[in-house]
Amino acid sequence: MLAVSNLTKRFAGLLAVDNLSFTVPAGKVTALIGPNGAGKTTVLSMASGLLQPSNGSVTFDGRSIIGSPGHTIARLGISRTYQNLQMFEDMSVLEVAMTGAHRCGTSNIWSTLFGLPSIIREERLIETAARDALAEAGVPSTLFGQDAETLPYGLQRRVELARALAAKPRLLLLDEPAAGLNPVETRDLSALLSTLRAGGLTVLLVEHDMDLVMKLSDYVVVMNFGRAIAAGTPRQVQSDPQVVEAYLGAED
Amino acid sequence: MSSLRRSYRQNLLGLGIAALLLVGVGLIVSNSFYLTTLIFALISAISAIGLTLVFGFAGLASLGQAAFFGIGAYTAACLTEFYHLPPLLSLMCAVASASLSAWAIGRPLLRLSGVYLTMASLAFGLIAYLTFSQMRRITGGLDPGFMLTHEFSIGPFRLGDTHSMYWVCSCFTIATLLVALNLIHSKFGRALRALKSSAPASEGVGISTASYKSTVFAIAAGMTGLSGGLYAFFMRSFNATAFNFNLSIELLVVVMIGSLRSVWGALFGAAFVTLLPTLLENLEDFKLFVYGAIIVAIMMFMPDGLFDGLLRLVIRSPRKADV
Repeated sequence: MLAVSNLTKRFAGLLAVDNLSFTVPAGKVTALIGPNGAGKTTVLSMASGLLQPSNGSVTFDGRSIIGSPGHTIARLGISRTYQNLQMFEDMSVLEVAMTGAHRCGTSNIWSTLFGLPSIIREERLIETAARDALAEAGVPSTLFGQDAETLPYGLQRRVELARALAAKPRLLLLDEPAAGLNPVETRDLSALLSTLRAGGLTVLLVEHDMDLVMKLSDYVVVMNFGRAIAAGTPRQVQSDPQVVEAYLGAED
Repeated sequence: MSSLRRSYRQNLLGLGIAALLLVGVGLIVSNSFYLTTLIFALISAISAIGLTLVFGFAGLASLGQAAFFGIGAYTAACLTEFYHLPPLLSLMCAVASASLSAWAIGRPLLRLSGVYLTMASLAFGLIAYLTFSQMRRITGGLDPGFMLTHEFSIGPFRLGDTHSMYWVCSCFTIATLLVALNLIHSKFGRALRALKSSAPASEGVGISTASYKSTVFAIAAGMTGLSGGLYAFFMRSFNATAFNFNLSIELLVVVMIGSLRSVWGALFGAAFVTLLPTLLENLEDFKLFVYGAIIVAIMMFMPDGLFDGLLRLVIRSPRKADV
């Protein structure tokens, strides 16, 4: 579904991503792992239009998305969450999720200005999508009216996930969803992602929690210094000597 | 009914109450000095409603609103004076011309952010002011200024006198508020608040931040152009000084005193900034001192603005996401 080929990103003298190629097959969970600074988030940023690559291509359903702005890529059906929370301020939980469902709305500015009945229908549609997504992400409905920013960190991450799900994505990019979560929250997240996976959602997961990665992923791509050093099923990469070296250091 | 829908209904109820209050005031007040002050407050409120959308909701601090006010005023005045267009039509053209010019300069200007955007909009305001004062053949410049010989009218109804202009300005204020409330309670309003807090996350949910910014900038300029046009028809004789930097500053103060989080603040802020100096007139030498002290006190004790501050005094609830 998503194909990355010969992707390269240079930041001045630093080669962050070096000639990287891999594919994310439809309906599967693909994990992108590697030590800190390996270039994983940079890959996600290029796949979501936040960064433009120096070289190489990213195609979604055979269509190149290089050079398209972020909102265009989002409308094609790619949603993401962020390593550092990017919560919308001064919004209730429900409103944050409704903003996620932005692309469900088709109204133009004129019907909005004059408050035509089509807007009421559209708002109802967006609100339903948002409520479904929040329920899917396991946010209790008692919190829907609360200011999203005042929630505990773990719940904010869920709201962010709901915001991504509300867009009804075909591909979900998750950037370290378990970062900063306690063991109980991580277990809940794992259960939640299993449910999404069972529902047939295609996921590209960047994560450091190896238990989570090994349990959820169908394929794993291991990166180090911007390059893919191994790829395959979780079992295959676990026994790969290069992977062991990257994570634990070489034996002398 | 969903809570968001209920909040929209409550705002419409508020709009009804505001309309009744304006009618009440219009029936009671007959002194033309007070009516004039009220008209200035309404004109300033219409501009401030637009600026609340741009500054309060989308987080774009513009110091160039006086330019759109001036464009609106001169468009309305010229079309009526030189081309004998019906005043109402001229007023609509004033909205359109202010909006279109904002749209045109918005794309390059809004690529900037934060303090750079503010400086660029300030520069735009100054250029516009210089243009108004130098294009003397059309605008009359600073001296003698523009003389509009036609009074405001709708069809056969002549509405040039102060009392009629009060009704006209009241109607346009309510209409502007309604449009602003419609915008806020839609995906458009959510998109504005979203792009204010995180541009990458907004793009990530499919919001084109560039086009939303220029659209809200154009809508706000249209509202400012409307108030400029009303100003022209009310004053009938004015010069370019009316559209200098002070006006942009005053509008920003109106929004900050009123509220950054609700368009209702524009009414409170405009009433405050316009009426307070009049009420303090007796203090003579101390007038500015007291005026400044009151503003500082409001900013200290009601940092969210008069509207939120008063609302909290009334309902005594903690800060919540009220729009």
